[in-house]
Amino acid sequence: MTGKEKTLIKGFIFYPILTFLVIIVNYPYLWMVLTSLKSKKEVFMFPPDLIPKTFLWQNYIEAWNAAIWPRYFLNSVIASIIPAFSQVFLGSLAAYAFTKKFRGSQILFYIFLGTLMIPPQATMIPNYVIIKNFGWLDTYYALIAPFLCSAFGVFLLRQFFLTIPKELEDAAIIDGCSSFRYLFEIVLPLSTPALLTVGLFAFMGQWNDFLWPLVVTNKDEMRVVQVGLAVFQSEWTTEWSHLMAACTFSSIPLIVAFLFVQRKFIEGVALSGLKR
Amino acid sequence: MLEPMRWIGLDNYITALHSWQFWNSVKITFIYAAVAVPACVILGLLVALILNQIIYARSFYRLMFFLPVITSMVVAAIVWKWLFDPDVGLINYVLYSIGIPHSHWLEWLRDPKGGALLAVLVVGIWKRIGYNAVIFLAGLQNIPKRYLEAATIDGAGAISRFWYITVPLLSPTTFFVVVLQVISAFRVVVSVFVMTRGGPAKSTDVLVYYLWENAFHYFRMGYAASIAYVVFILILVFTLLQFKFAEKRVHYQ
Repeated sequence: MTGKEKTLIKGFIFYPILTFLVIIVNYPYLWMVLTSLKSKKEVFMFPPDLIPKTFLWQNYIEAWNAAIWPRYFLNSVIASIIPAFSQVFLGSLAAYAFTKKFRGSQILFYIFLGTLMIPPQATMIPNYVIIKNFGWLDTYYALIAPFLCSAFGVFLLRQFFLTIPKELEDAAIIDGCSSFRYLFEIVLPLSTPALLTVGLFAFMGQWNDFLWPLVVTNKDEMRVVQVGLAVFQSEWTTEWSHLMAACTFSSIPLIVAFLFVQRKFIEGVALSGLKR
Repeated sequence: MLEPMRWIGLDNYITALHSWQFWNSVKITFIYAAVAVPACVILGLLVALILNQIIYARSFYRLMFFLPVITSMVVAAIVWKWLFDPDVGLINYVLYSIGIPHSHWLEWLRDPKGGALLAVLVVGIWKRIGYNAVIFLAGLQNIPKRYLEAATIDGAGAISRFWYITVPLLSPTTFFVVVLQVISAFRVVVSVFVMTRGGPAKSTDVLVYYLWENAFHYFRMGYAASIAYVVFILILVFTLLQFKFAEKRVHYQ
């Protein structure tokens, strides 16, 4: 059997299996969209119609008008973009410092790494008490401040910065380049993939975060999309078509945004497992 | 709303140790982890092994498996809650169609005897497979082809190649995936929050949900903080145990 034939036979076996699995795995999304277009009566039919008889786009308008979704989206964007940029910026500064040897640099770096071991749920209560004492509940500060810097970002960037040849820095310093200028004009442009990965992880993490925004916001106009959706769900418990409509329009912006950056993002996840 | 803090020593921990609800949460968290960790790791590896066999459109398929990873848990939990509806949900329709008789399990989120926990587990596993598959796939592609080719020439079949070459060479990746998976299983909460609120009859009351309820429902911050320490120590102990276990069994090239 030649290599070509082998590839062909493998294709015949594995493409149908994969396609079947992909359909199963993503069927919940299809079912979400199909349900969102059904009438109330149709939703409670058993056995269910696989395709709605008429597409009721009205459900989307009703679900959209039932809560202040534009405001939720705005809050989510603010609570995601600012930490994403800040984690990249502050992370680069810290990571650059950690590529140097200075008194206590090892210890400091290990303490930094140690914080990665602490689950966010464990720090949630002290963080909440601090934010409350600051009088920051129901403000953007509460949504943003705890996430301005991340140990994960610093670690990832430091590992990347270490791969840049030391000779480059020596040459730049001899030519009279300052450390800051070296970082901003030479290191950062060379590290675009790592910077993107950190920014994307931060953005996704913030956008999908639920527990922390739930805890620190009470006013409707301070809610982020995830919290708004959970509240919507508790109010519209069995109005499945409207709930599915809300699920659809609240997840579409992220999925579309993700499709543009998916390769970078998935490569980032894939590489995280190869670190030794 | 919040009482001023005052020093009470280890009282919160002693309260926890005497509370059946605390032990119930510990038990449920362990059951959850015992099912979710092997399921996520094995299914992720299976998907990666299949993805590794194809050449064209691999990144497309990889992306399709990754979609559940990036959608928010809130959306996922609401959609699955609907799929698991015991009366008109799609899952029961499919199960009845293939001839599965009704039992308490098929009451799903209404069933305190395991149905609700199983439903929460399914969501957690479904959301995690793609993530593990992506990491495993990178690990598989990192195995030098020459080892597998050499084994083939020596007459090794597909199964022995998998067992004697792929598995040992993949072990650092497997170790990484298992460690992350255990941590994530101990931290499960959002699916429980949206789907069951710990119920029915506390049957899905995992530790972090118990923590959340004490902190932000009953405002027993001190007690909840002690639960948070328990979660942290559990994760720490299990991670260290895995490192200890891995010393002998993980082979770095």
